[in-house]
Amino acid sequence: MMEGVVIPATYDRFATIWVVDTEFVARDGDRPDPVCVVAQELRSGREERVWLGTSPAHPIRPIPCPYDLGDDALFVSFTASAELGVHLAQGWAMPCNVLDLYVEHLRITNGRDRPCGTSLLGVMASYGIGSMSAGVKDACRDLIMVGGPWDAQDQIRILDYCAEDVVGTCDLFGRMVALDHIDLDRALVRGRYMAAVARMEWAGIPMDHAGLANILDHRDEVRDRLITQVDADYGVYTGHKFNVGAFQWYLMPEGIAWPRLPSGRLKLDDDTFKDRASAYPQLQPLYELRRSLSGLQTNRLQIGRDGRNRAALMPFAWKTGRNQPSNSRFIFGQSAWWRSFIRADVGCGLAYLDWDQQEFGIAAALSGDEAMKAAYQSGDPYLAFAKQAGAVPEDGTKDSHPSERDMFKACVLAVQYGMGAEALGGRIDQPAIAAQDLLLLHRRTYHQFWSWSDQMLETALMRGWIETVFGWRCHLPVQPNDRSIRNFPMQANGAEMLRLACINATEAGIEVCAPVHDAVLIHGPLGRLDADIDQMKEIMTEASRVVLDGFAITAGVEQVCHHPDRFMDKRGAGLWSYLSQWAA
Amino acid sequence: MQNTFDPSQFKLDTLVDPTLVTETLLTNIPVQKPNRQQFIRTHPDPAYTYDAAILPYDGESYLVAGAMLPALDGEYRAVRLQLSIARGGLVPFLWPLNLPGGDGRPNMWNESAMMSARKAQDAWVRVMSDQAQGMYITREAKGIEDEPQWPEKPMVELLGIAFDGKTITEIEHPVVRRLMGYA
Repeated sequence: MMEGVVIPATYDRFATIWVVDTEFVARDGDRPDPVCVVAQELRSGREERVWLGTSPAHPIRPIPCPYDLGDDALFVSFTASAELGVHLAQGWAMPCNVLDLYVEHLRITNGRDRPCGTSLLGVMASYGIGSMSAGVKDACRDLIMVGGPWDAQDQIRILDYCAEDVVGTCDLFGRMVALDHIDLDRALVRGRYMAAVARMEWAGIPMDHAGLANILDHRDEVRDRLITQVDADYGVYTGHKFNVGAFQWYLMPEGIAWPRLPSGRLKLDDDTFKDRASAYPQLQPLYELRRSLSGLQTNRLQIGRDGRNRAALMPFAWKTGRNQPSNSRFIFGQSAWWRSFIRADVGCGLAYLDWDQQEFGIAAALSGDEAMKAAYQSGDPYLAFAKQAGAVPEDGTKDSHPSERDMFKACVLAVQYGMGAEALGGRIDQPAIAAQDLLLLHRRTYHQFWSWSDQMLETALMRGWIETVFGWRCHLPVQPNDRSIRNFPMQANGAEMLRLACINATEAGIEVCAPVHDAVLIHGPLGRLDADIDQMKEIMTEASRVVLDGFAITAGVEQVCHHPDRFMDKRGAGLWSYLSQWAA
Repeated sequence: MQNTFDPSQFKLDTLVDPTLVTETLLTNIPVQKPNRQQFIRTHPDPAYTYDAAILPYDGESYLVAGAMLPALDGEYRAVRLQLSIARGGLVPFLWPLNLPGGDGRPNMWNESAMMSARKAQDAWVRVMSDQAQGMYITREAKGIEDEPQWPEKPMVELLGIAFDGKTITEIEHPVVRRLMGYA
């Protein structure tokens, strides 16, 4: 047994426990090129070092995986999606049981300060485990990132470096186990998601990379065209500069209330613009323009040699456990019109699927509020809420009562986002007192939901933490925010649902290109795309049943596009129409 | 992966722990008339009324002990303290309803207030003064079906909270001294 590592009886179900680290070359947007793997079996101390060496001169060799992957073996690593990317590159199967110490550390520290960071060295330091200096580590990493060729001495140095990380990971495992920081059963569910992440990062998002490159080569012309076209309706740009004074003059006759800073100046941050644009749709093109102009400057989309956008999905990075890929590197982090560069490969198609009103459904199921469940199951919860509250007759439809439906929809969303009457009033262009009445109607119509929400809040405040049905825990700060706590079960269990769906879809062989909040983008040959879509819908609905004790959140297809058609986000369609000449 | 994936067996149910509960502590119960713009209810159980003498002074209501009544003749009011609650409110209040005077003369204000309080036992009502007619008028809500949440404490405890530090039992009480011109 490894010195100093005491393995508790919980782990007796595993005949072998392999701690694994890999080295690989990862150029922006490309799949990983494996360099080497080192694995150590914790009980026997057996070590495997395998040089996988890739370079144009040394193509991938058919080397069998040097450790066990079966049901009675545990695969332990730090950021398993990286190691499992190497598995995919080598053509190795995925391990049955994955324990990712990075993810478990994120869970243990979620909501707390992480003074040592989240790198392996930082996490080891936070557990009091010494390691090689960051400088030595950087030098070794640089040696790897050169991409070869590596002589025999280099290879030994790289393998030693990799082995040192394995030793560190073994120590970290021992320390985390000793401190009871690993909730094994649920950690294995999270580990399984890391395998799905590896598959999704491996797949990447197919792009019209030539069109994208052309747009980026013509940034200045693109900027000028966008400003000329969009600003014609607003008159708020002077040259390339947003003119705040002119914007104020635009707002007044439109009757648009705009939040201000304590200094009295308009708040012009992205969140404020986004919020106002959803309250006043006439602002949407201007909001997209502002995002686009900033995106043109900061765009660092990572496109691989195969023309696919790949960015680290950064699983579990949000407190709610959602993924947090870099906005500048991930196509779905960009302004909506950029998504028109997403295009299926020849002979293939793409489908974008999401859950219908996921947060409302989760709230109904978790709280057990029968009225809320009935509203969700009606297929149009906003109209159903208006009917339950007596604002729309039983035979009313969204065509016969569109404004009432919009009002009650805004109220439902306000409750989900924790908005007060003032903010909801601004959103629906009504006085705060009218918004207050709407919020009271929500409380009265869904009193069981509110009673549950109050109890859940109190439980969280008394414990100091809150968690999902699969144990993704968030520690509350010293001054907790009620609204964030009340919304946590919906967002975080929604994230659980997405993870389960991604696990099952990728294991079923569906090519999932990316998870996007409560949606997924899948890709496949036209001959099987329809079947994949049907299967994906069923997988997503089944994931909701697992998370919500049998309650089904239905999944629908937002969009299907076959090559050569482009993906199109309707919010970006206007801007795209001005730019398509460069992408043709 | 070859193994069967059945995550449902690992689910937790930790969002709500019924053993971790809090209770709204009643630390203050105002003695006041209903706000004319709020719908109110009164407790239907007679045990939640209490006939007493109160002395209004400087915005507060003081409970006067029986032994002090002769000394404070003309200063106090004989009232029925009726436990009441406004719609949406968590804290109840005591509505001081004037009792009939000893002279036997009818008083429309007092009688109409009593009628409003009776009506509020089983319906949400607003109680508004009508200066022209010299009485209170009662507006009943037609669309409200929810029921008030009453405190579970007995009336004697509620009175203790409402008049904590505001009970006049002796002639040396500061309020009495002020009224007598001694302070």
